[in-house]
Amino acid sequence: MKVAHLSDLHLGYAGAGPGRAGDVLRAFERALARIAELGPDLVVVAGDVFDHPEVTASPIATFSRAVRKLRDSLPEVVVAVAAGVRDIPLEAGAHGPLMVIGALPGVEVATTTVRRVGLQGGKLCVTLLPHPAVMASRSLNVSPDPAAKWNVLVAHAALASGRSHAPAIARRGWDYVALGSSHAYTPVAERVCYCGSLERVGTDPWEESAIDKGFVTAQLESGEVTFWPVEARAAVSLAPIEATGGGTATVARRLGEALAGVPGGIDGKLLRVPVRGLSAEDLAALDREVLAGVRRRVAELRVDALPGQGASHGSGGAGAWRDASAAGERSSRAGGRGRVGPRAVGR
Amino acid sequence: MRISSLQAGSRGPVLDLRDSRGLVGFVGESDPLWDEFLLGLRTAFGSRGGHRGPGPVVEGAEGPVVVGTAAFEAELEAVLAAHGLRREEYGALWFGDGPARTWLAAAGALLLGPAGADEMRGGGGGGGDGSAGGLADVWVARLARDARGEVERLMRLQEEVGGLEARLSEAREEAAIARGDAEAGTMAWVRERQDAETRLLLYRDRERELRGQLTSTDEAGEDGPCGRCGRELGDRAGPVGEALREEWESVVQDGRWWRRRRDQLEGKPDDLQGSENRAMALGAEAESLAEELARRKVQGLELEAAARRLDGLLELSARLRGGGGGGGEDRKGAGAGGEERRARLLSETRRRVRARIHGKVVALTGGRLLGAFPELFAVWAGGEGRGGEDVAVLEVAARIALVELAADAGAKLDSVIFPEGLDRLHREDRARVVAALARLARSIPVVLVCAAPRVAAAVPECFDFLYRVRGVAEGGGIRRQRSGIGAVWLGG
Repeated sequence: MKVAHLSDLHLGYAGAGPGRAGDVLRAFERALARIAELGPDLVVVAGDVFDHPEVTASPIATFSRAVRKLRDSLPEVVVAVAAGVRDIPLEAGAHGPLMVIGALPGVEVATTTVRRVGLQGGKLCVTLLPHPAVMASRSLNVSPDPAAKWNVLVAHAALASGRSHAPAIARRGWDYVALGSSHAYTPVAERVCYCGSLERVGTDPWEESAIDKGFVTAQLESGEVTFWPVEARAAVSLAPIEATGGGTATVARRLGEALAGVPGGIDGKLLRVPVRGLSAEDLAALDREVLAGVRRRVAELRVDALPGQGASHGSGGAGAWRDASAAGERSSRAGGRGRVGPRAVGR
Repeated sequence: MRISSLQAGSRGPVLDLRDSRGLVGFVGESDPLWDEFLLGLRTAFGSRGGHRGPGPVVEGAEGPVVVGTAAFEAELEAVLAAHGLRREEYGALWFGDGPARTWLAAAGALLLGPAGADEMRGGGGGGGDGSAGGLADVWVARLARDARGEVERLMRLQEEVGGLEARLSEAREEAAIARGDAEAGTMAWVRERQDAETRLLLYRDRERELRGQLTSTDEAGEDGPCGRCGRELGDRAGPVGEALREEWESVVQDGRWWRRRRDQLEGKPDDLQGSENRAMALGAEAESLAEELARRKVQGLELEAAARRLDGLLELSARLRGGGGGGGEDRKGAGAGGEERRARLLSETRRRVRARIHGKVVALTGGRLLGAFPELFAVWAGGEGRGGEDVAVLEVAARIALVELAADAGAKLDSVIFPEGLDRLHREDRARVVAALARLARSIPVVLVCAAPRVAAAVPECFDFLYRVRGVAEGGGIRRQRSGIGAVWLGG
């Protein structure tokens, strides 16, 4: 019995650059095409299918088309979805896009309450735990179905007691726990993991630059869990460009050198450029003269203005500046664009 | 002060915030109730102790206190005195009240501290007549101390320049020697390899030639001609054949040796590889030392600038200390010096506040407004240009900078309110702004924002609580719900 586990698809994500909306749709299509080759008995999606509840028709159509193609290859496969925090409209009673995909053949959806779906003549029980059901209770306790041979839990949530609780899962009857909400693939314990997102869709995509994106398959008999990477948009974070001892021209030259040193170039990538020590006026000039051209070449450009070395910003120094700009600073590193082969991660 | 409830009018609905922490969203688009809550807060805050009856409540030192009452005023007074803030500036800090110039004045006061703020406003502080520079001394001394620290740091770095230059020269010399050794080794290796190759080819040719002669001698026998001279061999066929065979074997033996030698020399010898590695390592070390030296030379320029700044501050400090003496001329001089001092202080403070807001705007927009910032800021600071997505993000950035300055200054802020602006944000900025507010909520117990449903839905996981006005069909009232990512227990 093989289960494919996806989460945090964020279909409808627009990002801050041209083509980013297409990235997430393509990543999803690629993932489902690979899943069709792997031939699972069940596909689960642990929430955040959509980036927000007011998506246009295009992401819904992409989901529908990809699932139909999957079922053309695997007619018996069921896609079970538990709603995530992004899938549900804030207005009570409003129907989000999950209601639409829930009507597709072979797709089972839980939007507001805990739902159990019996499959394979009752041998397999999938318990879907949507975000509103988790939030409605301070200590929601879920148990497997004792009548089923296999029990799979799908939740857009964290585990209340973390690792200390998790080792007992298999004995408690859960054969696999598919979690969503974290964008990084994270095995929590035996047979319990976050599979992460398929693209770099966080508020700061560069924070996810070193994280492989993909989905997971779990073999319920053996407990073997395998991570399958999916190609995602490459993200590059340059080391801070220093303005010390020079002005815009110096920064432009140093930036040119840094960009020339990016392996594989910058075209089509997510690029982050921290600049240290330039005034607002100099940065404006740099933007007009240099960065406008760079912006046209990349999928998304983010510039961070860092204070100069030794600059003081009040009695607290420069500390407060760092929160938004220092995270994820790396020296010219490119995020992984695709990997070859799966990664077996445990039993 | 931690806000624990907002009230619409004196009898209207209450937004109970007592059990809410973190980033709290009031979800509504141009909601009249939110406007009433804010009006209630502004009215009570502005009543200066004259407020009567119900109203917004904060958690005071002794328990709940209604904003605008005498008890509230007593608590507020202590906060204002501790941080050199004026009442309207605290309103700007707490709930974004007042025009841009009040926000900037608040930022300046927080940056300078009570003494500097007083000086900036021309109040003369505790110095009475202000002749001796009064409390501004503290601020100037602080700036001078920072500048001196910077100069000392840069001087220490400059002291190492001589040593670095000597090390660089040594490293370059060693690298040149190692490079020379490696080049000589390479030439010797190439020469030997070519020699072995040539010898091998010669031996191959000779072996082929001898093999031919031997074969023809063996095949022809005594009646045949000698493979070398062409004469008939006769009874010399045996010895000649034997001599040829011995020579052939010897050539084959030597040829084998040269082939092994050639094979040996195919790859670069270990010692040569070692020489090359050493040359490369020394070259890299020299390069790195050269880069470090270049950096130190640039720091030399910084040192000059820092030293000039320190001189200026020391001069100002001396003038402050010596300006209080005696006669009318001195007094006039001190007065002029005071004006100059204030102007410099004001200019420096404005520069730093603007730089801080600039950094925030760049972070919240990902650099989208880099080109527009100077003009945008000038217009906004001048009291114009309200409205629009660019001003909206600038205002949020300014508020965040203001709150961070307050934290840096040690002001204990238990709640801040962002009453508007989030709805006007550019689509790309929404998620970044809400994420920044969520980070702010890690250090401030309650960050209350009003956000349209599309803004709250853009990053619902960043919010801890959401409040929504229920329609009549839902029974009316305000519905509170937990947001963020929940947790689940696994049972069995």
